[in-house]
Amino acid sequence: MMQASKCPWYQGAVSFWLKDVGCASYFIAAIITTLLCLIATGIEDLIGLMIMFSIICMYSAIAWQSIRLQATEWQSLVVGYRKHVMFQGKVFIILSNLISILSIIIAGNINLLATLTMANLVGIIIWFLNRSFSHLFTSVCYFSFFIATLVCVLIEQLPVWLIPVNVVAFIAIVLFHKSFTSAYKWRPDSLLNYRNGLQSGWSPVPSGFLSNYGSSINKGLFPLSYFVGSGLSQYLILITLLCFFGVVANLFYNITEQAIFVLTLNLFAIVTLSLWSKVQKQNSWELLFTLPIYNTSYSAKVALSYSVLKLAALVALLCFSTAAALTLANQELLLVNALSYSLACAAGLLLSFSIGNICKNINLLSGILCLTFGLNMGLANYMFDHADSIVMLALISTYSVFMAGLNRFTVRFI
Amino acid sequence: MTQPLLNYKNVSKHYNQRLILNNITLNVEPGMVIGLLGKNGAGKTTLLRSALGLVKPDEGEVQALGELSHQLSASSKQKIGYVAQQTFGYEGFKIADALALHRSFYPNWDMQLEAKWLARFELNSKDAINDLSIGQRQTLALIMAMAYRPQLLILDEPVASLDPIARREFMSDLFDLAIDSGSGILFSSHITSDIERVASHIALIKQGELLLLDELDVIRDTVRKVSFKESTIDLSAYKVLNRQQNCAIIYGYTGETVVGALAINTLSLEQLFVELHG
Repeated sequence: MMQASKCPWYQGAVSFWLKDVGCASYFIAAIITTLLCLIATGIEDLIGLMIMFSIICMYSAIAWQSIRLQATEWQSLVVGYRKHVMFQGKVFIILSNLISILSIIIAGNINLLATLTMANLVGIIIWFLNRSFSHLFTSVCYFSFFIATLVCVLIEQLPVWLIPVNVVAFIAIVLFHKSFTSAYKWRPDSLLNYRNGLQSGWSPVPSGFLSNYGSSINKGLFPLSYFVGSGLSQYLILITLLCFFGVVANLFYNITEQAIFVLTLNLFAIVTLSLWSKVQKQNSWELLFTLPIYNTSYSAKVALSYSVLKLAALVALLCFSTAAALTLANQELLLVNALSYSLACAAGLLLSFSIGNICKNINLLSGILCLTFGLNMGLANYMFDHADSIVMLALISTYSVFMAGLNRFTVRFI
Repeated sequence: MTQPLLNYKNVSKHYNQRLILNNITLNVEPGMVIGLLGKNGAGKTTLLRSALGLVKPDEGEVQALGELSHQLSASSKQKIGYVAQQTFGYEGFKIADALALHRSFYPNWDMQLEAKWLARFELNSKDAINDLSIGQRQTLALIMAMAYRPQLLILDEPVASLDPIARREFMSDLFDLAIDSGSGILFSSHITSDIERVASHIALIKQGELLLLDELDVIRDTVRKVSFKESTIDLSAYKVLNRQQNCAIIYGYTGETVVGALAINTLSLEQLFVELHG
């Protein structure tokens, strides 16, 4: 590993890794989970997942930087520029590996080393693939995250014999990569892939997915759909399908709790994604104002708040139907619980959008959204489990109305 | 004879079975400022990119500073400046941070030139690049490409987003750079008045083919529009750039009488461009 430029290795690191929004979304997630590894050393179920997630996120951030390099026409002319950026990435990878090793030592579980080496193996594949094929970024990342999560959930402890296998495979890939002569070369489609990746953020949904079926939804949720894009209807259709499969599966196996958890998790993940896309398109306001629909910018903002309210109502309806159907299959219709749960989901959505209205700084928004995500998840699941009284229903109803008012009030700050 | 800074030798390039560059031969010598003129999609950007090895020709070869353009050494790269049509690469940076990092890669960076241009184009070094207008980003890209006084400068529509004053000042600097440093400059533009103001040579490209390459003064003196009645008029003594039913654009005219010609008119660069694409 060689530092190429004459400036300190860390020069520009903040801008490259934290201020490039596409990279920051992976890098910040990697930093947080790497630090959480140290805290989670006592929780065996969690630490493996944390190690896997943090390392893969860090490699994804480097892969993103490699796409940025491919999109930059002049980078091959500036001697040392590429090495400078990649040197920083390698330093971050080594640091996150060192912290992971430290947490493994504290946890005293050698099997976690197999998880760490596996994560590095998956990570290097993500990185090296994206050095040449920028269009693969989203799909490769999601496939890797899916596989990694599946491995952690299905296999309690990865066997120790995997350690040397992973290490050998890792070294083989590193040595083999030299024959990939096209790595980091400028390509005409890279800038487009970079910008698409920037707009979709963490979105796992391909841009054309289910797009034919969503036009009426997008029309009904305009102008929110204008900012979020076709993803809005795609997510809604996707989550409806998820609910349907959850309800059907619940007829055969009692998975009510799990189905509610997965639904809530997906719902708020999607809300966060939608907000992400909306923030990316803030500059599109100018185009919206030029449409012969709104008289003033304020009326456009008010229309936006109403479309968010419509989305919240749709989500509440979907959550209520799913929760009621799930409980009905268990021979006990928990109507109040289902209603409270659906209101909590709608209120969570409105709260997230209110934050999106106020928060201009993307990094601050990411941080606050993470906290809100936890709050919304906790509240919704708590409501489903415990809100079986009218008092609780009244309280969550008041909270929902307050959130609707908050969303309407904060829209002026966009 | 000096070695050309940039040498295209019979370069052809296809994209999806479409001919983008057709047998281009072109030399950029020290002190030359070549203005590349052509319609959108004529092949200008591909021609410029192939000079840097970003695009590899299907036939022929491109040499920059005596080396094959796709195998440039580090020392040659440090002598080449390039501004792409789409400025991209330092998103998330402030101007000062981007310049500080960029100059660390160049030992011959001219700090005075940087400061002078920052002041002239009213760029505040504390501004974030994401907040700059397209014109300001282009100006910054020009500073980054020129502050180390490259021997070969390749600019893809460098002034398209600049206001007329900034454009005029930049063009003047471009000319000074070529004179002072003996640099060779190849730049594309749609703005014929800019090309006329600064270019020593004109290269006119149409559908991937280099129609015309000569000194600006020679083009002014020897390119004419000949109007005629009989289509049998003999123009074999000249290179016919474009021929229509009652007129033709000829190159190589030296003041003699053309038998059968109704009128022989001079053309401005803009008129020439329009006539050739008419």
